[in-house]
Amino acid sequence: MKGTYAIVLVAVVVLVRLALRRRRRRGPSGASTTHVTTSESAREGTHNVVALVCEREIRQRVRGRMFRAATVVILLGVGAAIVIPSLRHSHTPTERVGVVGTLGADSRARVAATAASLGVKLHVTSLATRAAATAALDAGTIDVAILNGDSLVVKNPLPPTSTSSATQFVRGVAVALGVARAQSAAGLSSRQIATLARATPLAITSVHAGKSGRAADPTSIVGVILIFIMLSQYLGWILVGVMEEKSSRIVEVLLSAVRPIQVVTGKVLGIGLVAFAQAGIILVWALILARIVGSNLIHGTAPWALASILVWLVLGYSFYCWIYAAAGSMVERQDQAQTLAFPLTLPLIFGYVISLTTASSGTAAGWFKVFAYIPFTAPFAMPTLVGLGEATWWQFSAAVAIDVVCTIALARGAAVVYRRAILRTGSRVKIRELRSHSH
Amino acid sequence: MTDVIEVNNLTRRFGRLVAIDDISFTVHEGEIFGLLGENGAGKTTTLEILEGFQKPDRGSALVLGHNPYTAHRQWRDRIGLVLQESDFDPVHTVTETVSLFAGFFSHPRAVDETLALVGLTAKAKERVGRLSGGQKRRVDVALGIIGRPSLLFLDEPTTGFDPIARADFWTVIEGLRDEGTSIVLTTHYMEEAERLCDRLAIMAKGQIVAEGTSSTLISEMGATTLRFELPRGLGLDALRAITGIDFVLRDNLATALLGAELQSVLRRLMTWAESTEVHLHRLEVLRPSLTDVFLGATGNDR
Amino acid sequence: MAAAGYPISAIAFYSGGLTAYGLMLGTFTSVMVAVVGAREAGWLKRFRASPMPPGAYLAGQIVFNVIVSIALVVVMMATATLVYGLRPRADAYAAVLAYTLLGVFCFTAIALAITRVMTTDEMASSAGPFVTIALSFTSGVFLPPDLLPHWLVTASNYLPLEPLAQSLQHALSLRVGSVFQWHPFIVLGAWGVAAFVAARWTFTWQPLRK
Repeated sequence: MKGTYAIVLVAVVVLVRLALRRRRRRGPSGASTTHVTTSESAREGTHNVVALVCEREIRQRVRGRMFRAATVVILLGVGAAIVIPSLRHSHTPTERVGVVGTLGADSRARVAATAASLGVKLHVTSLATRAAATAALDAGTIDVAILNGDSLVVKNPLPPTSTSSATQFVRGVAVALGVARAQSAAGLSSRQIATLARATPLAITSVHAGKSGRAADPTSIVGVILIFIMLSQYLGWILVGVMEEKSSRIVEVLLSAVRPIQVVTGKVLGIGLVAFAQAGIILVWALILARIVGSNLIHGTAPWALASILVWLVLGYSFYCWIYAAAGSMVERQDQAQTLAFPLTLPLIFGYVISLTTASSGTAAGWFKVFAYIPFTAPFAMPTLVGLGEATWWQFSAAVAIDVVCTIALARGAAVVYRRAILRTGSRVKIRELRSHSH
Repeated sequence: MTDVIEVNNLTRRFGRLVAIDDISFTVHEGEIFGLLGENGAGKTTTLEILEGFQKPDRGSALVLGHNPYTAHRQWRDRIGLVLQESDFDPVHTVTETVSLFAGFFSHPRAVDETLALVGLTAKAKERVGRLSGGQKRRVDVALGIIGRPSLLFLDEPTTGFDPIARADFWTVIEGLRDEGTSIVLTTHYMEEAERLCDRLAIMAKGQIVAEGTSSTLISEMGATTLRFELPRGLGLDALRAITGIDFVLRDNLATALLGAELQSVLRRLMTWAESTEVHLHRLEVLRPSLTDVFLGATGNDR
Repeated sequence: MAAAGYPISAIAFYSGGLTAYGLMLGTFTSVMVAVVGAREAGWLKRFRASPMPPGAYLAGQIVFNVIVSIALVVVMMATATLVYGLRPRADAYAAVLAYTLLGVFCFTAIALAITRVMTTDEMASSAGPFVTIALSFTSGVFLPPDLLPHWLVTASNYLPLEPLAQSLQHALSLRVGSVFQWHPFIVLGAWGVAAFVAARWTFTWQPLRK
């Protein structure tokens, strides 16, 4: 299995190199003369410029107050999400039952069994009257009262959706005592009742041997959610960043020395690096905390499922960043960018929703598999398929290849849009000046 | 003559910093009043109180008979503002921007006429985002005068203008004054203040250190400069013995700042030069300027 | 999927939730960014200096956002019904419109109240989406609430996004009973009114960065 993923990796590297070489030979759209000559020093120059723009972007981001504040908030949130459940887990909840009147030994055993099956402790007290029970419920000293073994009283109505152990316990007791009452009403002997209590469901076998019916796949669910949150946040940075740079005219200064494609590339690279650095910090923090409080975050997670989530996070970012950069270059004001943000997020949301639904259900429909090859939805759909074990290595590589090719095409398109949009805002002299530079 | 602005013992603090320290002045109807001072002297804070953006800690300001901080919209209808920093919604054209503000006032000037006044007719259909800095400043001025204000505040209006644009602007401002508009102006350009302002006040460290017409300020506070090349063999001490005043060497020239004693000093110097047949090279008597007054008043003359 | 005690179809869940998300992203963030941007650029100060009634600016913001939001809701509803086969009751559309207006009111007010602590439009444009997406994960927009810890769901019930999303989902999936629920009007109304009161006290027309 490891071997197959090594092959995928090599394939990706080869593809990227091929694409780069082709680009070098032809020169990118709106080629500059320095590029056509392809001297080693000219290429060095290009890389330098991209690196400079990228570095500038990183500095600008990391120094922002908002970035630091958001990172701290996320770290605190992740910390709370990991630590709080473990604290709650450490002391088992106790269900306090008040008994009014008589409750048979059999019924008591059933109440105890219900508590045991839910993993909660049981504390039973006897109460003299119904009024005393009501008072105890109101005061919160008991959770549920059993009246003469034939009715249950709680303080507030049980929320229909609640899956808390307290609610489940009350529901469980209600069912258990109801069954007990029916059995004794039917006049069964104690032996018959004991037999009934041991009833087990029948085994189900299918005619066609299939994959073992899988439940929801937690790794894919978490992975899909992670990819969605990170993409929608970091892509927003690109949208706003490109727009802002354009409106502040910094770009005019930049463009007098640098070609548009270099500016955009540097920009998305810079934001991408900051984004993944932030994500890395959060991930490491989560793993460390989980180790400390002893919860098993990635226990039982297949390493390739994790790897495919990371691969598709990077691929998803690389693909969508060009769309957001092009969109950002076309808007002129911050609030326009915000109005545009939601429609732009819709393809992401679509990919997220179908993948989350699939990961939760545990089986992938045929139509869903198609979306694993479309670059818009692949960053969500492909990791889901991998998590469900429904993607072979060559399917995975095919999706990666399609994504990489589309990303390169998209990058070229975005550079053209960016160049035109930026030049449109400049003054007339600037346009001529830049044209003479680039042709 | 009635007063459009009456400021009495105005004080404004920001924490421990005293931005305005107990100032009083008046602005008469139909005049151009200049507020001069270095950056941080308190000019903009003063203007912001007069414009109703800030509340003074002590003292009072009456603008067109009202307290600016609590004044109603009808009061704003008679005020025009050209703020120091300006930025516009870049997506609208010049005409659209000016028309929008024309709609806020009860008796606006025609948009075309306003654009012609500030010299933006050729750029009327251009988006504001594509104008140069000086052109944007003209939009600012257009917004300031669109409502036919009786009182116009101009906060450093010609910063970033080229000399020709500045001269054009002066003509526009003088035209507005001739129509009867009262104007309060802050500026860093002394020739602008000298040319435009009927009266002016110089601020330093939150206080008004000089006030009056530019000619009275110059004649009261400005010193005439007398300078010449120190003749060979003559020391500053000897020069003092001849003229009775101290000279200093500045740019290799014996220099003295003179007030009323100019005539007697000159006579003694000339008599000495005639009698000893010394030729005073590069002899100059320089008329005092507002710049000298400004530097003297703000303590920057050393 | 059982989101609120009755079965809800996936399409009703996501179309209701995403409409609420879109409303918050569109209104909350864009009002905040527009106001902070206009303030820091000095446009607000300039408006304030003119005889324009202050309410006109506010009204302009609200009207603009109502138009954009209704357009968004129409597109969302059209997609949900035409492409995904959502079949809500006819009166559900009235409820959706009412909740949309309620949402625009509430999120505009909250955005205005928050502008005081946003010193740059850059800050506003990163804080807005951040808060929106964080809230939407606890509010039954991107995740069915039964996957979340109970205390988080309870807390979200008192934040503005959850009641809006839940009531839209409710209206779009209902077969019997009233499409209108009272609690979103109480929660969103309370947030909106409180935020407007706060905004009246804290709102400033002057640039903060100087």
